[in-house]
Amino acid sequence: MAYDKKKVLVVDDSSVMRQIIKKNLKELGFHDISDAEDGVAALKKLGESPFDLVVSDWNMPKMTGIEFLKEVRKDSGLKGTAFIMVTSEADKSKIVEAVEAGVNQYIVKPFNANQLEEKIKSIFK
Amino acid sequence: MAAIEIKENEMPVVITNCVSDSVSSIFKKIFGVVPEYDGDDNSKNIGDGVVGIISFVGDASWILMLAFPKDSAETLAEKFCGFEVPYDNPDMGDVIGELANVMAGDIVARMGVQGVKVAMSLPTVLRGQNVEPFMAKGIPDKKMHYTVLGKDVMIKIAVGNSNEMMGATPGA
Repeated sequence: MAYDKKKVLVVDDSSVMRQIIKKNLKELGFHDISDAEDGVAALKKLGESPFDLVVSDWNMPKMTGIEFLKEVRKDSGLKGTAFIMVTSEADKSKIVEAVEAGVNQYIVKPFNANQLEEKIKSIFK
Repeated sequence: MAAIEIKENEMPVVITNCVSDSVSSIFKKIFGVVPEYDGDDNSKNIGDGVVGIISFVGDASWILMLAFPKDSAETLAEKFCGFEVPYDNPDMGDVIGELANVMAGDIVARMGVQGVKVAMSLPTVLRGQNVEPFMAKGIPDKKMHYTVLGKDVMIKIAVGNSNEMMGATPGA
């Protein structure tokens, strides 16, 4: 699967986590990768141009990942945007909450590049 | 599930066990090895280092401190990130905060399985010589020392009432 035409938005308040995820995505063949440090900044970017995939953290200041996901799913203009939650929230109830809010895939930290690849493959198969 | 009863000078076993299991599991996943437990000497400090702190509220109010001496922080941060992170770089705080965050998420899940519901805060990071947050007197605490990839890591846990705890509010 070629990902070079897919546009990705990485959302995490940790600069290091954004770097790690972007590095993994580049290794998978993604070229067009943007980032944002919280849900508010991410929604602004999504409003400016469409993205194929959002990879977002859950625990962030200003707007949490789950609040951000709900905003994305409320917006009919963002229907085609896939959403992966990459988070330290490993509690089952959180995973259920994310699934009910419309997340496409859920990755519990710590994760490796193979796990990220598997989740992305399942979205763009 | 009722809140965990906090007795003076007594660390609730459910917290100690969940933290200990989480340290083994998360460090194995991140660093590829199970850390060696080096005891619980409460007088042993880390010297110059960086500390990631998470507070928990719910059935039990407590804090978790994940402390790395300078040398450990540099080595383990590089292993975690896949690229070098100098000790004085602002990203070092991010790395240690993220490690504390990942461990805290695992602990919340483990406590949930035990029927103890807690929510975790965003991480707070402190840096300096033997740095530790100020705690109210008489709060039960415990230090646990580990070696990972030949580097020292210290975990400290302390329990008490929520108004005695420090750290950011969950979701803040």
